[in-house]
Amino acid sequence: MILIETVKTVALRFKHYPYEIAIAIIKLFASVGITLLFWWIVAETNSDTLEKSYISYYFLIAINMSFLMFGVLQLGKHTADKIKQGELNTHLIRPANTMAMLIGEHIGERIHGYLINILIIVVTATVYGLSFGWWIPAFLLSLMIGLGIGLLINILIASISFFLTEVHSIRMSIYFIIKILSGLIVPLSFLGSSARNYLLMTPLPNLIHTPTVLLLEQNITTEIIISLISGTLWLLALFLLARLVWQKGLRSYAGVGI
Amino acid sequence: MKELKRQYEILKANIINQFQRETAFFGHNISRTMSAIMYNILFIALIEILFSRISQIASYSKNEIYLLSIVSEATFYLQESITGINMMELIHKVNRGNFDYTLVRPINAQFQSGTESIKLLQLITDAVPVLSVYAIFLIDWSLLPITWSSTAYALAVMLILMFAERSFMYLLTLPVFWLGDATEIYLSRYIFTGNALPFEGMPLWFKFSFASFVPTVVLSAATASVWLNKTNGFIILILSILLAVVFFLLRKLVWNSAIKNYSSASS
Repeated sequence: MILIETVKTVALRFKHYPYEIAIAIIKLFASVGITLLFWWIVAETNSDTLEKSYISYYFLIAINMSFLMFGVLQLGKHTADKIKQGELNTHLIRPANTMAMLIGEHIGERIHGYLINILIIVVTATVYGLSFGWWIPAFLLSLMIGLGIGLLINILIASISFFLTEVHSIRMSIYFIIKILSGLIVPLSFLGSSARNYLLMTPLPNLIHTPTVLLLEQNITTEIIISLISGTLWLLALFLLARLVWQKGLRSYAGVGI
Repeated sequence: MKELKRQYEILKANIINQFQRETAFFGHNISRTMSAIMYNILFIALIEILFSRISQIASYSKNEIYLLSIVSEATFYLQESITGINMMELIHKVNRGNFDYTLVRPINAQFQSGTESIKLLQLITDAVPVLSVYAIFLIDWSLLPITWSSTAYALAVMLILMFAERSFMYLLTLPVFWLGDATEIYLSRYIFTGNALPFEGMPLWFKFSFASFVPTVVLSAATASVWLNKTNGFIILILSILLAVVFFLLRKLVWNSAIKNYSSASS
């Protein structure tokens, strides 16, 4: 309830800054456009290895999916800033779940962008062609696992700032690792099968690779099953770790910041 | 002449002041260097993965793509250290009403805003390790079709397009005078930085339409193309000068209008 109310309240700020929506849309299309252009150039000179249409659908979905799953790890950044500057007090003194409020604020600030991302994914998948099957519940499961993992990575990044004064570089390093190992920069199908199998044991392919491939191939393969099982286990492990670090951090937090 | 000497003194004072600020928290420099290295390790991994499946990208071999990357990284770090931080600070100053302090001083406000935070230490700590890895370990210089004249043309094209890009960065920043904030508009520049789009692969319509409005897109691509003797250096140089002049005039026009619009309080 607190989460939804916070989302609604924060989302109202766009009434005062409508141009931000326009800029967010332009930025999204420019970002997708530049990535597609690069891959079209690659596909044009290597048509025997790469299918231009598949790669276009892949990146249209993957890029929009990345904004939903982890963005630029902004939730972690903003929470870390609040901890660093002592602003977390304003949340802690309220008789409500602090984490729900922080997540609600984050979603509220980006709700318009998220709706556009969802719309683009739905339109792309529809144009590509959808069929009914068991892949749909598997896709929804992969989506939930990915959203959970993305959220927990953000919380872990935020928690680091309870103990360190500088988290920007750590955040950016983690972001770069996620970008490449999740399949956002290059499809994981480009890797050799043994490298891909090792990677599927990590939580990162659940952020982009697994849901995107499920949506496009609409088929539950052994790789998908391995990814979903390891994703569920990672989700549980990350939840316990994030909870532990957050609570430990809160105990070391003084009212004036760190 | 007197004004030039005065600007030189201001520039020197600003650089020294910024150097002292940068060295105050040296640990931050180390962590930022680590982040830059991490980004490049992953970028190199991407290129290696790609070239394990393909042989070329728009006539560029892996070696040539690494040359394009070194140009892209060099221009990014140069522009970021010289102009990037200044633009973000200008946005904050106008947003919080602190721009008044710049205007009341008997100095050129545009010059002061554009030179207040030149991060030379950041340029050294971030760019040198990264560029060294490309130059020493990744690029086989003996295989590249570069000549002395192509190097001279490439250097000239790079500097002129960087000047055009600096004006473009101003144009992304100046909306703060009307809107109160331009952070999101300014940050959109990063979509176009650090890419490895080869100039030859860009469709013609893209080069002469979209790329003409965003110098960032063609900056490293055109420089690398000229350096590799893939394009006529003289023609690209002339087009770059034209682009730089147009953007400079546009920047001057918008700056004057922005100053007139500033209400001497938090916007």
